[in-house]
Amino acid sequence: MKVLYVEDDAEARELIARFLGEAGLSVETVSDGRLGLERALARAYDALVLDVKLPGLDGFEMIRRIRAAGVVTPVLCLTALGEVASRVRGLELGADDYLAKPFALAELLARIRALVRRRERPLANRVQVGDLCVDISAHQVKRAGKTVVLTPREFDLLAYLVRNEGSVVSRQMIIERVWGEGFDSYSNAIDVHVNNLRNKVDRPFEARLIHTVKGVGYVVEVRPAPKTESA
Amino acid sequence: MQWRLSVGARWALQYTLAMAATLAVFALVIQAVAKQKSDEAAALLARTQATELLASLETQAKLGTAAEYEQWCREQIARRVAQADSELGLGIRLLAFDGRLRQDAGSLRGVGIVLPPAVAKGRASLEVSSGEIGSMGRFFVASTAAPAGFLQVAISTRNWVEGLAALRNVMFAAFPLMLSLSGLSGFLLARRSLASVDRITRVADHLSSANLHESLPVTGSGDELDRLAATLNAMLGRIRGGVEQMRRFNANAAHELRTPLHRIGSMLDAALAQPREAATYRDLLLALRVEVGELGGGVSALLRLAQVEAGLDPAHTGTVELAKMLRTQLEFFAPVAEQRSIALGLVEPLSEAVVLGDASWLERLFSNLLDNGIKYCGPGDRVEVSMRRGAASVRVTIADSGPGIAAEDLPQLFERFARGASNTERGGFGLGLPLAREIARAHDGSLEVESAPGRGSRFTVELPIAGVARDACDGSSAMSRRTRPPRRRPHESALRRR
Repeated sequence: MKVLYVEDDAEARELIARFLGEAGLSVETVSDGRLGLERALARAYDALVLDVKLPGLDGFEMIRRIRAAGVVTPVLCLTALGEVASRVRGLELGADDYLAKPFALAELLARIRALVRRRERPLANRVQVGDLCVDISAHQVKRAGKTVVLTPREFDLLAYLVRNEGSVVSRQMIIERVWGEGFDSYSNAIDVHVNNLRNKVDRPFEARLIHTVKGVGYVVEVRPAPKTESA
Repeated sequence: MQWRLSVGARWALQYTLAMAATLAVFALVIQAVAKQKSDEAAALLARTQATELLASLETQAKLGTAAEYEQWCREQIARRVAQADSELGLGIRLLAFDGRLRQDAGSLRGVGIVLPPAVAKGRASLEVSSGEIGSMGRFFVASTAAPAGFLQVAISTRNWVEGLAALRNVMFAAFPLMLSLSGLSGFLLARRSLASVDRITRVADHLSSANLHESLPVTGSGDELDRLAATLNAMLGRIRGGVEQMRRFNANAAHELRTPLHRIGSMLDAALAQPREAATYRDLLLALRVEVGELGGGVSALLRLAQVEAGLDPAHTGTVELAKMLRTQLEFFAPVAEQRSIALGLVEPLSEAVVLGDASWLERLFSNLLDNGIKYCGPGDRVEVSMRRGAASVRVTIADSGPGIAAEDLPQLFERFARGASNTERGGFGLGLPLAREIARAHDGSLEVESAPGRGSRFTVELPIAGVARDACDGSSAMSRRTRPPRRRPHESALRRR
């Protein structure tokens, strides 16, 4: 997974690049917007991670020019919270996701992976994970041939998880995509929702498909050796 | 330093200048009018004297011989001149047809006055002309044909000119006095009215954040300056409240941030005191991650608060269906409530109401309140959400049967980092409710709480309904017919432009 990371703060750049590198990503870093644009247009990447505030050329302008040049590489925007309308502006210009500082690095990694995954595997109507089959347009879930009845919101949650099969999705990502950005909870609301979903989709069956990733979120995947874990 | 006139001196000077200009114009007009009137009076007098004398001359001419007539004329003229007031400068003369002087009495003696040609040639019966005669000044002479020649009667304007001069003297004497009086009164007036301004200035001068408790002097006269002082005092009061709140906020924020920082420092110190195993370091780092995450959450909440305080962003503003949003909220929190054996429910029916605002902010407002309600409740408690629509606003009430809030904690409930409300275990540094209130205010609405220990809490959000004149959002039930919103929202013009 090849990622271009444009950030002017040297310390943050080194740290984050090292973290992403250790997580198995191949990261190229650039400190300047103009240079970043040249790179993004010249080479093929799986994802671009741009800080919005950049010397030379700001992140928004970079996104605009990258998209104008016909490059469809997924873009993740990093901004400082409190920058009014930056999220909307970034998304309007063609950014694919947005993350406000301060963020956890695991959150960043999860989002980059989800972006790349989504592009590699375009939205399918039917997603099959092990013996779980989710028909998105028909709102139907079957596991081992048996129909599983879910509430509409449980279905949305499951659909989001299976679409990101194999990549970790954070609680924040789940809140944003399934509920809405403003949903704020210091309680474990998402965990309870996922637990309810597990009760219907996972528990009655042999193998677990929904796994907890400590400190980050959840992942749906087929794991060879079923382990017992706490919810 | 540049020398500048005080407002008082400037007022006095302006008064004086205005007065001087008025007086000068007044004097000029009086002079002009008086001169014209005196000319007219002298001319009229000359004319009437001539007409009257002519009538008696004509009568006399028919009665006797030329010699007798001449004799009578001489006596008549002498008598008239003698009887006349010398100030009038009366002069009478009779001329022969050839212009030769027949008789001459009074002021015209020795003065060559040409007969007006119109009278001399018989084209006009009487004509008044004017001229200057030496020391006697300006004269008006009425000339007319008379038996055996012509009659001239002269009247001097000296009589009136002297009156005018007297008037001028009086004016010259009075003007400086009037000017200094007006200057003085201007100065005193200015001083008097500016005295309160000076007092306000003196107090305002040494006001700083340290002695904001002082207020500007109000005399109680109820005049403009008093109203100004009262307005400034009210403004001072609001600033005072704001500064006080900011001071408390700073102290509390520092305290709240210091506590986890202190914890982090202690954890690091303890770990570094001696070499440890890798697993220990890992545990420590994980614990530190949690602490730092909480700190970051606090900072994010502060930034979000600042963002909300800056007002709604038109790019994020749209219509929001409240009932739909509330149902989704309940759906979100239902499993948590269930897990904790708290009955979370809607009081149906929910009214349908559309408000104008930022959907994610409103989501945050309600999720903060619901999260808060669930957190404080124990098993068996209930949290109920209801919504009632008024003419111009909608009220959403989130009531819980939890422990309630002590009366002494209520005033600080919406204050940032307030003691009592803050509890880092619950996360968010106690910024959830202040943020909720700011969001309501950003939407021209309000957030209020009623609570008593043992009787639960009741949070009421009031928001203006989209497209309805906003009157009820301040909580009053009076629906006046005001068409303008009570407070113009900064983004509104931006919205209209789009």
